[in-house]
Amino acid sequence: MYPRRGDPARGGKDTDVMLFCSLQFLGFFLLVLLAYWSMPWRWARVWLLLIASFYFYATWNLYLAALVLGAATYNYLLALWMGRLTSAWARRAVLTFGLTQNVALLVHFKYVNFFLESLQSLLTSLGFSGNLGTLNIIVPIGISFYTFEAINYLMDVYWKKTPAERSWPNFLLFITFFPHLVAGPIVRAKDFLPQIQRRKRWSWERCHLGLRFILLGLFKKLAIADQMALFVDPVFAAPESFGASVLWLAALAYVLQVYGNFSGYSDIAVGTAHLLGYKLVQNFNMPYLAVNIADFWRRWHMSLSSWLRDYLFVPLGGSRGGRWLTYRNLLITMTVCGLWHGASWMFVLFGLVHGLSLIVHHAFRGWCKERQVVRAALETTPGTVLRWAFTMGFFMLSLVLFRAHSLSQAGTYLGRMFSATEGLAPPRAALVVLLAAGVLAAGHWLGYGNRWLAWYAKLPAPVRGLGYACMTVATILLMPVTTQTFIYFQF
Amino acid sequence: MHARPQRRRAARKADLLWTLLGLVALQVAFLLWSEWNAPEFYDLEYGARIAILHERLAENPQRPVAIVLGSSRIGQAFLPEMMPPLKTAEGEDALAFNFSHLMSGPVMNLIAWRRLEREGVKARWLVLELVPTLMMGEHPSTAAGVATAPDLPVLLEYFPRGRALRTYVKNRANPWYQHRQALLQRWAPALATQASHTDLVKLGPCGGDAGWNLPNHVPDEDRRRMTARVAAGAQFLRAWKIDARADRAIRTVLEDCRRQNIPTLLLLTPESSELRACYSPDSLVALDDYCARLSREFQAPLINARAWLDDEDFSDGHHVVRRGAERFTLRLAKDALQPFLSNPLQAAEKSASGALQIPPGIPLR
Repeated sequence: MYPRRGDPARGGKDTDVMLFCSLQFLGFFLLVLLAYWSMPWRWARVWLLLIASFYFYATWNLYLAALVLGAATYNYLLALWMGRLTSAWARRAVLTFGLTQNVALLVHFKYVNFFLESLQSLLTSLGFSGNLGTLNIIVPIGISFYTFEAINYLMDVYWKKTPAERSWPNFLLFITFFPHLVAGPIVRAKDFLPQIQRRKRWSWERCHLGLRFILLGLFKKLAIADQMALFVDPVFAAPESFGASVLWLAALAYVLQVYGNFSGYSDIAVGTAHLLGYKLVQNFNMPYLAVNIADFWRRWHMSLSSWLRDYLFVPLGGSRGGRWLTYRNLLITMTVCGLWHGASWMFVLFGLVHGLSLIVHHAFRGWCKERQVVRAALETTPGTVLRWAFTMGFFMLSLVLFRAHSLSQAGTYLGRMFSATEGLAPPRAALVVLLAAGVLAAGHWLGYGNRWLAWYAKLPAPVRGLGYACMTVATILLMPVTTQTFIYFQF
Repeated sequence: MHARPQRRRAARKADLLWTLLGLVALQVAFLLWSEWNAPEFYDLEYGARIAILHERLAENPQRPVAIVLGSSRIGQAFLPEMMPPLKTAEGEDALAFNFSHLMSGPVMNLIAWRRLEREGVKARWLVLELVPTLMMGEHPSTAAGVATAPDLPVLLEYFPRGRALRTYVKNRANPWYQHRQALLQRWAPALATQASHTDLVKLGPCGGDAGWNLPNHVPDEDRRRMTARVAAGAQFLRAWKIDARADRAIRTVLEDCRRQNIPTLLLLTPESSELRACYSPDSLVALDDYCARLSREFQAPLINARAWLDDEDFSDGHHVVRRGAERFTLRLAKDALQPFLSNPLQAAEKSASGALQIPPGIPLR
């Protein structure tokens, strides 16, 4: 029914969308940038970005690009209709209808086969011999992101936090703006739509800021994440072949890879948007400085975690309904967070584990409030280091669930991590992982409290310029022969 | 009132400009450094061979060396590692080293010769392959694709400057990106994600092919198909004629050797019967006359090994399979190299008189 990926006759190609770190994207973006700033009319720029965004997605799959446009138009009309209604129950009905449609779209493309397969497993285990089969579907890249944006828009219109957008091109641009279309950050309508109306002028400061973000993003993605992938992939493919030390190193490498890959993408998206005169939300705030799991989720994939807080956790009741309701809401929210990442029980388990950890944190925080001595001890430097180490250790182990294909693979991996096992030599030198960890640690240290700004401002322009040039060269030098796709494309 | 935003704007513009200048400076600096210090970045095969040659010379600096220069034909056909030890007239153990290069004709041989001089490698003897097809002319992009700055004088003297320079400059468009793996292999191998040139170009301790290009066996059907393709492309051999540039390059190497008292052996490497049939009678006469003239002029013995091997010893009519390489190497060692190393002058005299045209009974044509 749907075009198969790789079927050119049906608009498909056996590749991902244009990677931000590809020459193809560079050529595309330079053309768009040149045309964009050559046009003095706002409406022309909006249409140019729409065409560019459609082209960006259509290079992967023409039909699914049309799906994005169709879904966006549908939500635009729904919100307009809702905005015109005055009756509360009618507005709620339209909202419910809209939310159901969006969730149904997401479930259909992303989860229906997962549910069918799970149901099949259940029925088989109960003795039923039938075959439910699965649907021949390809998952549209970015569907989790743009569906969530549509949902947050409908809810904001319902709550009257933002008026329904009258301009169809403006609304389309909010959903399809190519820097954030396929892998976020998840953008709020009230943050993005007003920017479309604002007059834009070329700004060297903005250009500088955008290029800085892009350079940082490329370094994280190419020099850190792609290098780590060469260590991670062989170890996770066959954990039973490696000893404990290699498994721990690979887990650390994956911590670095997932951060470098995703925050690198987000930085490039933010930088690209800046060059076009738009500001997107930051998605990461030095998450590896977090000292507890709640702090971590306030720093990691912030656009998703804030979305879940505002559109799921709070409507469920948040922390207003007492301890047990809070725990329930935390568990539901984080399970949905896990499921959002992909149609797999491993992602659900990942979410559940984090939900439970937030519950434990919540309970522990409450317990500490009544024990000043403990609280004081935890806030000393050794106490903070201990909390940090515990948080990072927990996140690293949870990422094993995230990365593993199955429970048994995760079990093998975790089991061997905690036993005195020997195995094959590591696929690459341990030094590479430790170096990458050192670089990221240095980056976090410089970023903490904007420490780097004080030094940066004192440096003369030639030194700053040489620094940027050296970072560019380092990125080029360290990029592996084969680069990886962006991990969050699959979500 | 507007001073601060203006200062910030100026600072940002300055940053961008200095970044661009920094990038250009870093590219230029790297280019300049690599041109003179890292020719293996541009010529993987040369890098692998010179590294191995230096290892052999370091083991015994006094050991006399016979350098073999030529194309992929001799590159695959000559396996010095399987030869019995070569002795000089004084009873010294000689090292025969295969310093061939893919697609190397007379001009690229000259470039290789100059490179060896720059590397301080003193050959006691030289074996110079003569490839009839490449003696009719070499494509400038082959040499320009592997040349570095010190090779430019030869490159620009022997090839049309425009074409040679275009390829040369195109290879230097983004040196940091192009040579990133080679650079990491040199300075930080743990971070490299591609094998080093010595791992990619698999050679034996004396430069013989150790699994790089030499196939163990090729099915008959494939052999026939590839040979037919090569023969179809070699129809220009019907009108063989030495190219002026190629002639000059060959003579330059031979002159150098004569000046430095380096005895030289000229070698026509094996060809299958299908390829030998591509020559017309007139072109064979021209080729033989030219080679004989060179041999006489420079007192360099000429070994015509074109008919040494059976057709089944080849993969495509002019590159051998392992069996062919073994047969060729052993025969070259016994019937040409050993006599040549023992007494080059005698070998030259024999060659001039026709006594070194082997095997007996097989005419040149």
